[in-house]
Amino acid sequence: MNNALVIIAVVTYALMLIGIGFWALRAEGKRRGWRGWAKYKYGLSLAVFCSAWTYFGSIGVASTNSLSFLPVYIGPMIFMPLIILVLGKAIRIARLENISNLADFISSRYGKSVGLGLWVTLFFIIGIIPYIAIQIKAIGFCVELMLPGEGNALFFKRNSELFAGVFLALFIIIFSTRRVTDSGQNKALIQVIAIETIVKLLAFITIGVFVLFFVFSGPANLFHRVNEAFPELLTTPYFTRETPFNWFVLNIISGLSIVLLPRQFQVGVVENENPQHLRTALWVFPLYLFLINLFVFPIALGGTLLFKDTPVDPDTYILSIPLLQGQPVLAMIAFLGGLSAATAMVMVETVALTTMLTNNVVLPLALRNKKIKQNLTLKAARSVIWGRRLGILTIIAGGYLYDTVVASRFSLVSIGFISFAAVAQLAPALIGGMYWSGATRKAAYASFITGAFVWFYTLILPSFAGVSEPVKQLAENGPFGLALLRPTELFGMSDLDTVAHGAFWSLLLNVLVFIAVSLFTQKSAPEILQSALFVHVEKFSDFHGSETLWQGKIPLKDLQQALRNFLGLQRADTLLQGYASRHNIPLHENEMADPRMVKFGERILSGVIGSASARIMIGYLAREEQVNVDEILNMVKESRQFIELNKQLRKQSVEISKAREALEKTNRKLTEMHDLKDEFLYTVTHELRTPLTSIRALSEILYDNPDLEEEQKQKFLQAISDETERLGHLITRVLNLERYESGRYKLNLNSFDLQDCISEVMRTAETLAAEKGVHISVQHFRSHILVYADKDLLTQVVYNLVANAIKFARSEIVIHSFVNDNEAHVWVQDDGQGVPYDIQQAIFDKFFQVRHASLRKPEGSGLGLAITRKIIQMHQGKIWVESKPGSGATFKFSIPLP
Amino acid sequence: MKKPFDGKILVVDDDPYILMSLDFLFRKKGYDVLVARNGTEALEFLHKEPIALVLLDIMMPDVDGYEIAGIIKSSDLQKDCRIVFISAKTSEADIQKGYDAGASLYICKPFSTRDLMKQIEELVKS
Repeated sequence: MNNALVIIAVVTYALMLIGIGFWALRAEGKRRGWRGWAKYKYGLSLAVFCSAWTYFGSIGVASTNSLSFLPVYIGPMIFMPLIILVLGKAIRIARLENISNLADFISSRYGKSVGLGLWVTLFFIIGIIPYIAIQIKAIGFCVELMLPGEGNALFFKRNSELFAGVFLALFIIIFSTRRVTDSGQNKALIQVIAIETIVKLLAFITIGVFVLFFVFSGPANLFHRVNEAFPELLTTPYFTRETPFNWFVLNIISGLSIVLLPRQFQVGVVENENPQHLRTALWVFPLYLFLINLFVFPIALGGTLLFKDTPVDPDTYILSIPLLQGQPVLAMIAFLGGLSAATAMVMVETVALTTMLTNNVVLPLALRNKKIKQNLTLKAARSVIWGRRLGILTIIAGGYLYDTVVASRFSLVSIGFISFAAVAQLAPALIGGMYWSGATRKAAYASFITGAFVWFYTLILPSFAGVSEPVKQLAENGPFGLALLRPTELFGMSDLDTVAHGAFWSLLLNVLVFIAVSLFTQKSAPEILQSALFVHVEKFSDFHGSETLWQGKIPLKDLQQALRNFLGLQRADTLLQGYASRHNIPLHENEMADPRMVKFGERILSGVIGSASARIMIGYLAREEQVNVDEILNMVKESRQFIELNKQLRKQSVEISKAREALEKTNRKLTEMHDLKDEFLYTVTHELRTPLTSIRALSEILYDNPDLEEEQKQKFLQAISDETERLGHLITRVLNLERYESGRYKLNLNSFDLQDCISEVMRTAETLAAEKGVHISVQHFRSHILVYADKDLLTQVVYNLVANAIKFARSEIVIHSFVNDNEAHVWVQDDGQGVPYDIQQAIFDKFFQVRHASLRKPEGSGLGLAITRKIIQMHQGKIWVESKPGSGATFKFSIPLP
Repeated sequence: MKKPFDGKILVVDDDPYILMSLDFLFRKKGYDVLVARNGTEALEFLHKEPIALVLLDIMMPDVDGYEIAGIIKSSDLQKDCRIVFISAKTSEADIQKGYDAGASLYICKPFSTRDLMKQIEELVKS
C-alpha cells in the first residue's frame, strides 16, 4: 500500500481520537448532545473487553483450534445477569467509599489494609503487562503489514511498536492526568473508548461481510469450498470428552474477568455515572459480544482457504485478506479497527493500573517517610500528578519491553487467558468479601498468595522449560520427583488444557484457603466496620458508619488545606461547604473539624489518592491521635450489633440534646425572670426617686427661704404632702404586689355578696367621679351574687377598675354585674378614648405605662392593673379589656362561683 | 439682684413639682427661666431662640432627654448651649451615656437643691 496514505490515515485517526478527547474534556460537567448516549456509552465501554486479542486473536484461534475462541465470550454472556448484580453492588460500595480502583476496593474491604492493596497491585502488574504487550505487538504487525517496507517508511515499520507506545503514553497522560480528580473518573477517556468500540465492531463486521459475501458468495459457497480443500476440517467433531470441563473453567475465569480485570473495573465500576445504566449494559454488552464473534469463523475459514499455500499468520487474516484481494480501503478499515481495539485496551488498562500503582503502592510507601508525609499532605499535590505520569510511562514501557525483549524468547500459551487466570485470583477475596461479612483480612492474604503461587507454578513456570534445564526437569517429573505435583498435571489431572488446568487449581485452592482461614481467624477492629459497610452497603447509603473513627482532633484549617492541596481551592471549598450546609455543620476555621467533616474529607481524599493513603494522611493531620478504635470496636463483634449500637447512640444523643434544649429553655426563662426582676426594681426605684426629689427640693426651699409668701409656702407644703402620699401609696402597692406574687399573702376567704363590694366602691368613688364630672351608674341583673373570696381584695379590684375608668371617662361609667356559666362577672364600662388593640394585653403588665412612656399619665403608680390582675388570678378568675379605640373601654373580670 | 448672665435657662421635666421647684430656685437667683413639661414643649423653645443652659430629665413621655440632647448638639442655633441631665437613672452606665450624649453635668435624683445650684453656678461661670 501507499506509504503516505497509511501514514496520513494513522495520523488522521490519532487526531480524531485527540479531538474526541478534547471535546469530551470540554463537555465535562455539561449536558450536551444526545441524552440517551450515556447509558449506551456505559454498555459500549464495557466492550473494551474486546481487545486486539479478540480482534486478531479470535480468528487465529478459530483457524487452528476451531471453536476454542468462544469461551472467552460465552462466559461473560452466560454470567451477565450475575455480573450486573456484582457490578451494581460494587458501584454502590465504590460510591460510598469513594473508591477509585480495584486494589483500593480490596484494601478498603479489609480494613483499609495497605499491604493487601500493595501486593494485589504488584501481582496484577505482573499478570497484565504481557497482555498490554500483545496489544502493542498487534499494532506493530498491523503497521508492518500495511507498509510496503521501503524508503522512508522502513524507519516507521521497524519502530512501529515504539511509536505506538509513545503515542499511547502521551495520549493517556494528556487525557487522564491533566488534573487530580476526586472521583477517579476520566470521562474524556471513556468517550474515546466508546467511540473506538463502535469503530472496531463496524470494521470487523465490514470485513466479515466482505469475506463471506464478496470473496466467497455466501456461507454455502464458503463451506463447500472448505470441505473440498480440507475434507476433515468441518467433519471432525470439535467436542471431545474433555471439552465441557475445559469450557466450564474458561467460562468462569472469563466471566470473572469482566469484573476483575483492572480495565473492566475501571469502566464498569469507577467510571459508572449512573447505576441505572447497568440495565442497558445487560443487553448491549452481550449483543456486542455476539456481533463481534459472528464473522470470526467465516474470516478464519476464508483465510485458511485463501492462504492454503502461503505462510501467513492466521492472526492477521482480517488484514491480509483485503490486502490480498487488492482492497486498500477495506484493509485500511480493518487496520483502524485493529488500532481501535488495541489502543482502547491499553489506555484503560494503563490508567487503571497506574491508579493502583500510585495510590496503593507508591503513595503508601512514600507516606511512611515522615517528611514526605508532611510535605505531601499539605502541599505538593502536583507531585501526585507527576507520579501518575511516571507510572503511565513505566507501565507502557513495561509492555513495550516485554513485547520486544521477553515475548520473543518465551512462548506463552495464551497471554490473554493467563491474565484472566491471574486476575481471577482476586475473586474469592473481592467478590466473597462483598457478600460474606465473615471474610477476614488474613484469609484474603492467604487465599491470594495461594492462588498467585499456584498460578505461577502451573501457568508461568512451565513456559520457562525451554530455556532452563532445571525447570524442564521439574515440569516433566515434578518437584523432588513427585509426579503428583507436576505443574501441568497437578494431582494427576491430565485431561485439561494447560490454561484451564492452571486456572482450575489456582482458583479451587484459593477458594478453599479463603473459606478455611476466614472461619478460623478473627476480624480486626477496622475490618468489622468495613465488612459491614461492604456487605450491607444498601443500609449505609446515608449512614456515616465510620464517623466515630476520628474524634475530630483535626483543625478544620488543616483539613481544608489538605483538600485544597489536592483538588484546588475552588473545588475543595465547594465540596466542604456543600457538605457542611447539607448536614448543618458550622464551619469555624479556627476550630476542630466536626468528625463527620473529617470522615467526608477522608472519603474525598480516597478518591484522589486511595483509601489507604487517605487514611494515612488523615491520621497524620490528626497528629496520630486516632482514637482507640480497637478498644471501642472490639466490644462490638458483629456488624449488626455495631449498627444497633450506633442507633442507640444516636437515640441517646437525640435524648441528650432534647434534655439540653429543655435546660437551655429553663435557663433562658430564669434569666428572663431575673431580667424582669431587675427591671422591676429599676422601675420601682425610679418611681420612688421622683416624688422623693420633689419632697427634698421643696423642703430645702422652704427651709432656705423663711421669707416666702404665705400662699407660696402653702402651695409648696401641699405639694410635699401630695408627693408623700404618692410615695406611701406606691410603697404599699409594691409591697402588696410582691406579697401576692410571692404567694406569701394568704387569701382571707369568706362568703359574701359581690354587690356589697360594688356598693362600697360606689360610695368612695362617687365623690371622685363628681369632681371630674363623670356619672357612675350600676346595672344589676341579680340582687345577690354570692361569692367565696377575699372581700377586701375583691373590693380593691372593683375600686381600681372604677378609679381607672374615672381617669379616662368623658362623662359616663356603667358597672354591670351578672352570673353566667357558673361564674360571677363584673364589667366596668367607660366612654373614654379606649385602648389600642395592640396593647390590650400589655396594659396589665407592671409599670406598663412607664415602659410605654407616651401613654403615661401623671396620676397612678403603674401598678394598679398589675395588682388587679394578680388578685383575680389568685381567685382563679380572668380579667381582660374589650375596647374599640375611640369609643370607650370595658374592663371585664370573672371569678368562679363556689 | 444682678443677673448672673444673659442667657436663658430651659428646665425640662415631666414632674410638675420638680419643675415648680427648679423654676422657683432659678427665678430667685435672677435667671431668665423657661419651663417645659415634656419633650415637645422643650423642642418648641429650642427652635425659637438660643438657650444658654438646658436642664433635662431623661425619661419623658414623648421625646426622651437623649434625643433632645442630640437635637441640641446638631443645631446651629444652640451651638453654645450647655446640657445638664437631671435623672432618676443613676447607674454608672446611664451616667456615662449621659456624658456621651454631650452633657456638661449629670445630676442624679433626688438631688440637694443647694449642691445643684452651686454646681450650675460654677458651670455657668466657667
